[in-house]
Amino acid sequence: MRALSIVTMMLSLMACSIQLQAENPLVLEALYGIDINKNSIEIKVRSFGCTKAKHFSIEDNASGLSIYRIQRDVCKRMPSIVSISLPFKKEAGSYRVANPFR
Amino acid sequence: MKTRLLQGLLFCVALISFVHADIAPRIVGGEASSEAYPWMVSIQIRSGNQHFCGGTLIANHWVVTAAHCTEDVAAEQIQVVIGTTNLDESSAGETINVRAITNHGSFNSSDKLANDISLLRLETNSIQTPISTISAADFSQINSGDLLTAIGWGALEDFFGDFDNAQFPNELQEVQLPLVSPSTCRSVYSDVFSILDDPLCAGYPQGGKDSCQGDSGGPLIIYKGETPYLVGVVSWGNGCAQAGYYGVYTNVTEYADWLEQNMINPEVDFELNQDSFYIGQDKTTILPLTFTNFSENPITISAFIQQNRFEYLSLADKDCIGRQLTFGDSCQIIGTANIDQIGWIDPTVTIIAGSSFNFDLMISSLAPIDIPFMNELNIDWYSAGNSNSNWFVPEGTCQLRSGVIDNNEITILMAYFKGNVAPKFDIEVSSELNADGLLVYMDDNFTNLGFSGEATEQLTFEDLNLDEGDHRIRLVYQKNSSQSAGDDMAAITYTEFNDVLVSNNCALNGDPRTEPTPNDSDSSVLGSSSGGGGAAFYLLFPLMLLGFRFSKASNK
Repeated sequence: MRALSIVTMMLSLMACSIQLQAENPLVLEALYGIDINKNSIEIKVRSFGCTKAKHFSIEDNASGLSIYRIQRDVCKRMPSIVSISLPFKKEAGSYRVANPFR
Repeated sequence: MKTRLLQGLLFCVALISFVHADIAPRIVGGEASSEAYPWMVSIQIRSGNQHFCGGTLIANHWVVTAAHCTEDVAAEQIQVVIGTTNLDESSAGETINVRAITNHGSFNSSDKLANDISLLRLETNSIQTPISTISAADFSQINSGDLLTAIGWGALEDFFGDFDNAQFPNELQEVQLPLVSPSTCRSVYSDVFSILDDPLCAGYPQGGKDSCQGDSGGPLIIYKGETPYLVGVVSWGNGCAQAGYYGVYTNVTEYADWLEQNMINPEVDFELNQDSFYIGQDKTTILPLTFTNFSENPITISAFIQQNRFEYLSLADKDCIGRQLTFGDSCQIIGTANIDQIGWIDPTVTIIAGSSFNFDLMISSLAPIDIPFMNELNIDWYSAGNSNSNWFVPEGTCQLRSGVIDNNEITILMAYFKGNVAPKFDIEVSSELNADGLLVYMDDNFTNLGFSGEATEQLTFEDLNLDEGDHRIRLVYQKNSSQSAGDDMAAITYTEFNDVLVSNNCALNGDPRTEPTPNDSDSSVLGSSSGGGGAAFYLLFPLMLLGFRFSKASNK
């Protein structure tokens, strides 16, 4: 019975964990600067010490260019603004960026 | 079974409800430290003395911190302040530059954040008392629920959703946190840890108390009687003080061997502190060459030899020859330079101290510029820049304005003056925030003053302890690799020296000057100039040491 209680508690905790993760939907990253180059996008974003390029995804569709943070920076360094270079193939013409700017 | 599952779901609902409740987590949930911990370290960017991580003094010139704090900075960019409780009164602590950084070779900040540990070797011994790291045997005696103490200057509350209103204390904070069993921590962070991991975690299941952003690298300690021992290094966590999550710490006992293997002093570490100088054309200038021994092995300098460029530079010993330099000791050789043309020279100096050490200098000579309305001020002006982009006086103004430059270029203005009171300048900067801007040097040393964005400031140098001799202020407007913003320039709008003021109609002591109003937004200011202002925001304004060189001065 004790073992069953422990298993039940573990299952509950796992369920909670899944629930809490699901509370973080993809959000447009606030940008402190952006530079769209021929083969890359350089963005300036907030970092707590562990923000890397692989933490972002780019969506380019009719509504514009959207840059999402797909992984949270969980480190505990003082916040700073860092430049991140993301691979991107620039097409001709101008871009509308959907992200909020700071 | 159904009942058990129902109980579990109710527990889950209760926990989630707790998450959504406003528990005002506050070293979230801690209190100001009542005592100064002699081994507590604030790691700061030298430019502006900006705290960005904590650290712990574990030997007289060794600080342990987190690798994610130090993987993107260079040793010469940072300093430590040891044994202070208030960052506003850092002078109460001991400030020492960092000589070398050793990040754990297997740290990967984009992966699982394992091995989040690094070592800082300081330039001199600290006078403060280090803390001992806990032994593996003693660590094994700590049980889940035993109280540990996390210490730091990090945020007072989780601000993920409200970054602009984040609060960072100047007073050192501390909080007691219970040790959490590895199995509990693994289950909470099951996407990070495997069954093979043995994470060091601390906190309360209901949240409310935790370390937070700005605490990274700092200590997690435990007391045995009255004696504190270092147990962990603040690393990461899902938010701060969130219910259902714990703070994760690097377990120092797992790195005892790594620490021992890497706390090794180099046999020889002897350096010329400053090897790049800017002088005016045809202006005889004294250049102190300061040499420091950063090794624990003492050395004695028996001779120095200048290898070349005798026509532009002569050397004389001040206090080096025959003197034994122990760890952290410095001595000087005085150079006298005069370059009769525009360009740069690269003399080599050899120091004989058992072995021979060669040091290459770079001395750049800037062109004089004539500013008729400043003639009475007894300031000699010089300038240089990429593609001849010298500073200039815009037509119809009484200002000095930076030359027009492209990305990755710089334009320099230099002012020679005599005496222990420096000229005062009102400056304007209009540039790409945190990317392009103006940096200020005195006698080839960076003053920790830099301006970026839209800034109006008064530059004084009252904090500097100048002697009565000749001095050089150097203003460098520089651009990074992309973009421009604003007017893309820096300018001196007023100059005052020895109680003589050049006003905005170019007259000496003419129209009264209006105090500049420091910008409170859209600007960043490093250091503590007299102007104040600037965005209340932590910035890593890049110390862009661009490879600026103009043409080499010819051999005579």
